[in-house]
Amino acid sequence: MTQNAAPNLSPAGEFDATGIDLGLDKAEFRRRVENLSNLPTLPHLMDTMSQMIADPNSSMSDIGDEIAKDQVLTSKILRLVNSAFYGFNRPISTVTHALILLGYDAVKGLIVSTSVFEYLPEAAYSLWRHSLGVSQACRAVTRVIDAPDEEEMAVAGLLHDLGKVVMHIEASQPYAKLIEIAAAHQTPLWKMERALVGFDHAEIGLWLCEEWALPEKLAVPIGYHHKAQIARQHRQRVSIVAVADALVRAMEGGAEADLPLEELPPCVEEDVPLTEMQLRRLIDAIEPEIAALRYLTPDDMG
Amino acid sequence: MPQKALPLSMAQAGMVLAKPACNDKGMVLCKEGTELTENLIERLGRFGIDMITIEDDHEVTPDEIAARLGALERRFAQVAPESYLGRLKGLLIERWSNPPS
Repeated sequence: MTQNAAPNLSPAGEFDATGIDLGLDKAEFRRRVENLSNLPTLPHLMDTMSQMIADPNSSMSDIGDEIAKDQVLTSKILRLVNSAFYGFNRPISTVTHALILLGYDAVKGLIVSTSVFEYLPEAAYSLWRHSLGVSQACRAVTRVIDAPDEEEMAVAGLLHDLGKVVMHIEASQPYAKLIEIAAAHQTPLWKMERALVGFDHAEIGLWLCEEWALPEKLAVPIGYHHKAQIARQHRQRVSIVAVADALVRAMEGGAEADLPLEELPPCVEEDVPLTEMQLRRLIDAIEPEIAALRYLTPDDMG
Repeated sequence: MPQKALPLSMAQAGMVLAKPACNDKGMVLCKEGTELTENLIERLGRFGIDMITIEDDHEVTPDEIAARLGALERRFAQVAPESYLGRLKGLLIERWSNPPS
């Protein structure tokens, strides 16, 4: 599309990164992302929670009480689930209540979300809006096709770009530059990431999910949302996130406004077949949510 | 009349509610059609309302429509018209070309 796209494309259509300088070499970029030095360690609560879930003698309210000991985290989780932007339409007053209504896995994902997004640089704030939009869109798609586990899907949507969040936090300037280059060349961001730093945000997201012991039904959609065709399990979940992401970006809710949408692989359409009527319903449901998200301010993030 | 959802913090006197403002328990605090006043906005805040839906009387200009559709074309430049996402594009063009009035 753009005139400057031509010089950097090889005859095979691969992006040639020769001569592009992000101000940080590949190895250093990877080292920063892997060290996670600007992120605090995740609350040790994640481990405690996993142990308690595995222990048949722990009840849901025991686990809720354990989480509630961390008052800061508790207030952040409750603030998020009760926010009009999160889309849960009943008030949730305690962590145990959240565990009952949302399930362990969704709450684990929310702990990760509340622990990570607050470190996002303000310049990358549109990624928080986009993530909330995709979370809502995942709910809408899940409902429309009558798929299970709406809450878990909402959390998968919220975290689908976890890898981008971490790259913004750990390598903010070079990553901002990488996004600019992707926009100038009208190349999907994940492809530009691979070309310039050797890995993409979905891979980083998957790796973080493993580090933080998130369940596979969250990790796989995060790790494969740009490559649904190679996901070996939880494929419908992957496809729901891919469709939700595309819907939100199509309706002006992308984190990076100028990047082109890519065709979705055929398996996504098989997993999430949508009639014209269903597609219209999704647009009706999602468009006002995205419009409302424009009013969200950084204060609403923490 | 088109509608628009917005946080109560953005509400201004003179805006008209397009949907009732309800609290957590679904109790209607203010009916649709109510014109907001400073006093009312403050009271809604005290009752824990954080989002409202108002009537949006902004007239979309032809230039705004053209800019919006142009950006849509650029976003979908790599998508074939008959594909899964191409169908989405078609519906968005239809919708955004004729804004409700």
